[in-house]
Amino acid sequence: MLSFLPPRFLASSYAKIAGWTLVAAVILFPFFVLQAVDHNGQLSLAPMTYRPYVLAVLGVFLGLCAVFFLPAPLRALGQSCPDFAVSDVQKKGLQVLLVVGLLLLPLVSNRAELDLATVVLLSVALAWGMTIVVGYAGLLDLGYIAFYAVGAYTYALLSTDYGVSFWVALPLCALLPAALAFCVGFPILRLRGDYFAIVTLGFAEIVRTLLINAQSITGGPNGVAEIPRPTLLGWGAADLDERMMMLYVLALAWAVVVYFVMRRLRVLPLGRAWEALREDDIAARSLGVNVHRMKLSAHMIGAMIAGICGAFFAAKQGFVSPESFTFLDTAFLLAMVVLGGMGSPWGVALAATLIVALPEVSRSFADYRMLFFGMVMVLVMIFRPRGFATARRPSVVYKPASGEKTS
Amino acid sequence: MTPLLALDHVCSGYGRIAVLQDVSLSVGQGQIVSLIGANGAGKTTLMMTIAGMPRLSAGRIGFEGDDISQMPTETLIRRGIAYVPEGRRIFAQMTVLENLQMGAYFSPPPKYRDDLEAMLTLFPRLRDRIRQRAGTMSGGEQQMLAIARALMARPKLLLLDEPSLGLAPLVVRQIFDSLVSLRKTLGLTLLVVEQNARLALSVSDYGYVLRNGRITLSGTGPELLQSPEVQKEYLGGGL
Repeated sequence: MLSFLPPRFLASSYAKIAGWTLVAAVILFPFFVLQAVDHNGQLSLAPMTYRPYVLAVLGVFLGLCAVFFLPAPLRALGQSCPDFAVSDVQKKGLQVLLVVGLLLLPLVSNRAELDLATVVLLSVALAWGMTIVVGYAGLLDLGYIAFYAVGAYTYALLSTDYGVSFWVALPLCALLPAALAFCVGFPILRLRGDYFAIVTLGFAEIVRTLLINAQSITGGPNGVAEIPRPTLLGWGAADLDERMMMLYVLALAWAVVVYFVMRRLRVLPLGRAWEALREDDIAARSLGVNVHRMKLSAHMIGAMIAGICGAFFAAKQGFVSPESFTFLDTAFLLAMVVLGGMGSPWGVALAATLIVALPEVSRSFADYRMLFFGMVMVLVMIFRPRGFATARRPSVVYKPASGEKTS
Repeated sequence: MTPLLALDHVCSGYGRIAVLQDVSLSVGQGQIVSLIGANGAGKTTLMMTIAGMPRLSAGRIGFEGDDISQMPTETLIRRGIAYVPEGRRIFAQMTVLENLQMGAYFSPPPKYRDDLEAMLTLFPRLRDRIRQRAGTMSGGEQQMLAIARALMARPKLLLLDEPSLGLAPLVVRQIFDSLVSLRKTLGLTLLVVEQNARLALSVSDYGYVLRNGRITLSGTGPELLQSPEVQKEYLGGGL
């Protein structure tokens, strides 16, 4: 069938496909097949379900086949896919169009679609917050979800136990995670790279374990239910549809705010210092950047954004439990940031949308969605190995006559 | 007249490991002073100690007559000490302009704009490359950028750690030439750490030889070049 290809090429490609499929099979095995469940207070392995596992491995296999045997021109097209070359005016126009389009969405979509769109927007905002920490400042924070959890529980507990309204609780949902980030950050921000990642991972587990075990305060594994829903000046109290629409608009507004905050931060000296720190912390220090203060500020701003996202999440769901804040959630967030191309807001938004929406949209394919997911991941890694938006845009452009202009 | 920079019996090291023992040296206003020594002699530690990382364990560092040994690095930068670390350490993913801006981290905008133009006039190559990612430039250009970046803070004293590292002899020559002209045009004082002893001493007013964390020899540039010990150990004369 493929005899028109040179035999040596075939031999090596087959070997590569087989090899990588095997690697994927080994790596994916514990994630899909070996799952521990709580069985009357004892941990035991879940009944083995091979179907999603086999499908995920098959997805990787098919993706690899597509890459190796897709006609060469198509591959070349994929590799030379240009980054969007649009002018600033066009870009502003596109942004306005996008927001208008998103505002019109509730008029044409049903409740389930609107709910999904709200989740996507919150995830995008959360991924942007993590981009500040991981993408800009280069701090591999594997415990980012903990701040999201603290924000969510802050609102959940304040509203159910003390009857505090959403808008009053919101600032606290930002301040508390930030204060926590400050306390935790002080000792651990001295660490670099991998060590920092490990400690933050541990921190997230501590928070999650605390949420599970401080049963008298947090409700333990049962979580907090019947969290009051917010209203916006009376809007959103009438019925479920109106509430959904209000939550959607709130999520959209919040995402827009986070977008502008991160764009603004990038062109400020603060943002440039973060990037310098990520590139080379010794050089940054030799130029007088207070490394500790810079890392702490990135960590705290990221935690604030995560906290508010958490409050929105709790308000939307009406229910929070420790299950929503596992390491897997951090891993998905990290996947969004990395797939998007470190530090690019639009790339991260695209990746977040894909990662959140794809499994939901392909739900009708039932088990096949893991296959789909695996295939998409492989394709992205092959064609855009550095993420969707690979080119780092300079934050300032030199204009010879009139000094320079920030973009 | 008090020298611009004076180290007085300075001891320093990392944790319990002592590197510098009882080092005293002075750098006068407008001088080029070089520090030569073998690998592991403590040259970089000496530079880093002046820049405040690590802190000295004993002694005193005077800058313009004040004791600066307990000041944090950012205060030192603001007081006029700039440090070009070993191995250039430019921000590779950032553009040349962004690198230069980082150097002017504490400058008010109008001053920054003048300084930027001055640096681009001093190093015309950087003007050509202003939009380029710094990591894609040649080694010599990166070294120029590292020096220009440090000069953006308008320092009185420039600490240069091995500017010749990994560069072709011709490029090294160019860099030293520009250092000498920098002293003239900006009234700069330079403390240079170098492995290339012959070149460093030939442009220096004064030199120190560092060995196992101690200063073993000092003198004017020509004096040290003539000294049998320097000839033997650092200029390959004994081979």
